[in-house]
Amino acid sequence: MNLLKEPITDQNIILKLIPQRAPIIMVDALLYFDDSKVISGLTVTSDNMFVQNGFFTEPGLIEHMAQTVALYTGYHFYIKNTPAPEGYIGAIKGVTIEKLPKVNMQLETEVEILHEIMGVTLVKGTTKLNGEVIVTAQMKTVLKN
Amino acid sequence: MNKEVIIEKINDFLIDEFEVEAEDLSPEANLKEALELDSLDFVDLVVAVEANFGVKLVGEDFINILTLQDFYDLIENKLS
Repeated sequence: MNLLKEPITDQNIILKLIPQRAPIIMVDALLYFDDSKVISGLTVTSDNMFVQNGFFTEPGLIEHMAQTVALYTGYHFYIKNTPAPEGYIGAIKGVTIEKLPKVNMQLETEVEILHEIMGVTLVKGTTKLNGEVIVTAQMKTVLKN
Repeated sequence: MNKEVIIEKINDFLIDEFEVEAEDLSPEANLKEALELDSLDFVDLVVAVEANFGVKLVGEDFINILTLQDFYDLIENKLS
């Protein structure tokens, strides 16, 4: 069950949920949140640093998925009125990228939290473009400290 | 499940999935140092334990786990 009353699209709130800052902000919406799942959104803009020749490139897709995990963690902290913690991608495997999104397209990424232990979060992520799965990956993210 | 089976299953997945050398698997081996398991490996350890024993470990379970023997005992206690 979605614990959000409504999707969060206010960029001032999004900035409170993630530690990243411009120009490396790769999520612009929190659409769904519960204890084991989060869904983020991103509209690819032409000035996005990962856009090349009109396409959102692979590193951007991976960073977008990692920041979706950051949204999950950050929202946990946000509701406790605590700043979003910093973290990093510890490992990634099983990545498949079927298609690169074009500028102005809207991505939706669902991340399922498989395990969280000792500051390490193991997730399975799926990014969709107009309902079509374009990226799947398993990722470990690590909280700093 | 008796203790020998538990130890065998743990050793098997440490060798197969964590690339630990069989000769390093002594009960007194330190999990982090001798077996070179880092913090990222621990989440895989949790996944492997759940897959092999149906037991879900949490961070607190590892507080007093230093050696492989401690880990064998932890799983045995969880199953009992």
